[in-house]
Amino acid sequence: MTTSPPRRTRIVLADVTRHDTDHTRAELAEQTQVGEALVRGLVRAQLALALRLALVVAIGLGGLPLLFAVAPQVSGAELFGVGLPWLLLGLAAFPFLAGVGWAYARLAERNEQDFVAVVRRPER
Amino acid sequence: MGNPYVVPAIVAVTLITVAIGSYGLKLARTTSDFLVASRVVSPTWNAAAIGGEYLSAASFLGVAGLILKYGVEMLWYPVGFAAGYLALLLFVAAPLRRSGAFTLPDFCEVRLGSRRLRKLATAFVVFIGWLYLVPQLQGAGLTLSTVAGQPYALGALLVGGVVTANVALGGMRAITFVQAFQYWLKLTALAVPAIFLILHWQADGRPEITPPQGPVFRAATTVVVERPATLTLGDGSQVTVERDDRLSFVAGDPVPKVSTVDATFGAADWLLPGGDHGADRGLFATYSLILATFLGTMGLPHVLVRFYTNPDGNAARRTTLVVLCLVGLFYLLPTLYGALGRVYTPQLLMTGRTDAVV
Repeated sequence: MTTSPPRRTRIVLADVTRHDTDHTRAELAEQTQVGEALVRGLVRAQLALALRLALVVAIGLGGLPLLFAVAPQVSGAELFGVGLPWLLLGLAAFPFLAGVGWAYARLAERNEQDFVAVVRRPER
Repeated sequence: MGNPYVVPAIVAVTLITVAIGSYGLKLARTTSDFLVASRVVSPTWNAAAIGGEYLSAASFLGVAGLILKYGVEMLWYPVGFAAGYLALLLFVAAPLRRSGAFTLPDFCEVRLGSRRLRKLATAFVVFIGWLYLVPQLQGAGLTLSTVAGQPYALGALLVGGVVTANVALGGMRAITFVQAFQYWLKLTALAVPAIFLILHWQADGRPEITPPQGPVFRAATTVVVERPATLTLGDGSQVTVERDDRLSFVAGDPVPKVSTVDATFGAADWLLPGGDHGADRGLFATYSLILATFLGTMGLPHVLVRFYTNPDGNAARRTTLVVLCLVGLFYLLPTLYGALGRVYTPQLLMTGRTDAVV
């Protein structure tokens, strides 16, 4: 077998800025102490954001069965002639999840932009 | 069923699928092309493709059928699935793409450095793929036999053949186009009749979805018994029926409960969560259902693999967000079908084969 498996290229951040990112990439590629710490900080920040939003969903949506169980008058409530559980689960849940998702995408992207801004500062 | 449009429609969709697939054939040149579409798929295409492949027969036929049978508790299935996509977005999409790996077992090996883990992951992927195939083929066979009266096996073989050909010839590129097309096709195919159904329901004077005495036949229906069972009629009396017995119901007759079929008949149970039906419902069952659907969606290898076709991590994230929206949009429909099915096809509650409601 003479062909080697296709090379995997590990990307840290691509396309975050349109400007010249050679310096940034070189900085990260050098794996300096500071660089490493910054990357780890970014990863931790993203994880914290994700966990916080996951908690919002866990309480907002995951709490519903509990709510229905302990408060039957909520289950029986009606809006526009349709039962509240139907509206919440069959209709409102999806925009709620999409909204949380959209919030995450925006905030995560901003985290990454902040990170790149910090890394590029030494060049100025 | 004598609908003259059915067979031509099936033929047309099959031909379009094959045509789109062979267009992709031109684009499959390197391993990168074949496995990950050269990583150039844009978020919208990718999202439509994931949506198309994920929103399979189980999603719409199955969920609609479950809602018809059991009511509001079944809504946790679509919500769980959608939440799984959110979990993917929050925790998996970007890091997975950035690892640079080509497939899921590849990723396991890169991250955790173990060849054996790679093999284990591969075994799991194959197993999950197999588990997934079976209900898809069941859906294909069921659809073809319900709608066109063709033998069940033909549906399964036809679908299997077309998909295998598409994948073998075109790889990821072809498949992406095909699946994106199918998402929009499915959405339209379900949305348009749903609109007509609602209008019909309005015109009908909005018959109650849950009349107090339980589901009621809309039109005169004759039921032919295939298996002996005990029926509990509307007034509480019980009747035992044998094979080939014919039962006639007029409009307005309540649907009898069949001893061999498990379904929810009481209006309160169907409408409200936590009713006293079935063997072990209750909070524990609901929470384990939620956990299962959302963790399961998060782990689907054929969805995860799509993230590799994005140009970068950010695109992977955006793709997942769009998928979340498309999936959410789609799931409004089976719910509608399930609920209206309670009014218009209550006879399915007698056979238990409620997947046929759509």
